[in-house]
Amino acid sequence: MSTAPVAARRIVGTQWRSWKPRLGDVGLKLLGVLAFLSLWQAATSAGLLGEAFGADFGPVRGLRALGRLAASGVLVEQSSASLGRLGLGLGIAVLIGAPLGVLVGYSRPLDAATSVVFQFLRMTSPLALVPVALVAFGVGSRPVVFLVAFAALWPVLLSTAHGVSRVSPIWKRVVRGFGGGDRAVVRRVIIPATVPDLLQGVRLALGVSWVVIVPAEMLGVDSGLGYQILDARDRFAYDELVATILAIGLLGYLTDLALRWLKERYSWSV
Amino acid sequence: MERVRQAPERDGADQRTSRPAPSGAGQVGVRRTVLGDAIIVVDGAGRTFGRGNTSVEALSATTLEVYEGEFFCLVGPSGCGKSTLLNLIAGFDQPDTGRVLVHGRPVTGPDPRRLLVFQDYGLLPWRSAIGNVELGLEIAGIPREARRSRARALLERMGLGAFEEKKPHELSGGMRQRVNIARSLAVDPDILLMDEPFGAVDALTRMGLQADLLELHRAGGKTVVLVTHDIEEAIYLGDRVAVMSERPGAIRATVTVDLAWPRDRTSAEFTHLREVILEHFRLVPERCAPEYSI
Repeated sequence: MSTAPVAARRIVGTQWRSWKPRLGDVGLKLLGVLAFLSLWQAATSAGLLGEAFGADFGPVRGLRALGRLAASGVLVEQSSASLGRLGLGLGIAVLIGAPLGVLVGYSRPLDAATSVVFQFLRMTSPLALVPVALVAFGVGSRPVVFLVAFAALWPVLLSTAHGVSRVSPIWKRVVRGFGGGDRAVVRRVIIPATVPDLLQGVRLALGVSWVVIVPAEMLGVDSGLGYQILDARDRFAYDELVATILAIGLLGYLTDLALRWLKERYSWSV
Repeated sequence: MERVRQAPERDGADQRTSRPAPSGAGQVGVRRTVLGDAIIVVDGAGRTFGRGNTSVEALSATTLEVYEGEFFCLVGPSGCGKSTLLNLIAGFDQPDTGRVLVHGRPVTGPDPRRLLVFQDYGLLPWRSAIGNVELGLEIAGIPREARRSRARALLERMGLGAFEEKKPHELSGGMRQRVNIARSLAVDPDILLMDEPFGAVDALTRMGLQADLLELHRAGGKTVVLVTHDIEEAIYLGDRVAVMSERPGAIRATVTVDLAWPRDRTSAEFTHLREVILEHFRLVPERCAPEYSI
């Protein structure tokens, strides 16, 4: 019969597909990075971006400066300043956004009452709030943390609410059948069912947070990667400026990788 | 010790009750015992969903009694209000007319002493098999060690000892239903309300689950109300089988199954009971779409 060979070929096919790209995947990723760096280097050394963008703006000198900054300890110092603020802001966003998201996802009236306000606030650029933050929190780390938290809150909240609204009503009935009340439903069904969506929200929030923290650190603080960019500019140390940009991108990529791993760990399938 | 099984029948209550009278069944005199109080009383309970023109009467005024330790089956076509009736007894829903009493008290909400066993298992997908069995014990506030050992013992008893760390999606349909039943038994309810518990598994698995359920019932002395559209399942399991008509659901007749265990699905008495029950469905006018027929 012709069915058996077809089925066999299909199995071989999936084995091939799941095995070969794994090798090729890493290679392709490296290739993409190399191609990007080469294009960038070529554009700066050939003066394609104008005479103002010399070789100092290229990745070769940038990476060399990155090594220098890493060796002198400046990189670790500034990165940890930024990561500390970022972590604090994200933490606050989760502490506020997750329970609020559960409430909003759980209660239709509350969802209706808050949806316009939340969408409005979500669309408000945190950078527009810089003057407000400075007035409210003074100069220093606190307004930066506030701006990160403000930016991170909405993805966390909305993603959590979305997750809650997808919870199967049967799971709730099971818990109620065992005599559980609202609190048991939240604790044993809503929260564990929603954690993957919450983490997805945190992932989105992380991206927004990196976007917000750099300009936020250009205002009234004297540490962090955003500060370092301005400082490098003022010292005409353009290779250090590029190095800082590279550091921000790398840290963003690595933190996202960690969250993606966390999300996979807690996700469940039906 | 072996309990004397009750084969209760109140002649006044069920006018159209059919009694099987195959000569070989015998034992009727032995099985008819003095009745205790009914553990579940459904007294003219009816339920209509929606209002006005769009309202649907799911269950018309229904009266039945289930006795302690009895295995009571409700059989009827899909959409005949069986699940509605079960939900009323479970306390997930309230009747519009009449009342539902359990242990002589009106049902006002769910209670772990009368547990609804869901058709599609309702297992929490992020919990392992043993974690699911522990759910009711957690809610009851049983300490960790005690609930773990109880859950483990129940999974062993259901033949799932090797699968306690597996997630629901790694288990077959039959295994999931075993986990679901173990989870229900964990809190030791007086009454198990089962809504088509074996509807989603293949025929052979279903027979295995039926035999296991019967064994659990005979060992545990629990009252079971089982809803099914499978007449054979109802006769195989039930002390009595209530036959329900199409929407709006109503009890057409109650049939007492005077057959000894283990029941032989191919015996003359069994086949006779099948015919008796099928007869009730033939009385139903042909106004149902084919998918609603048995």
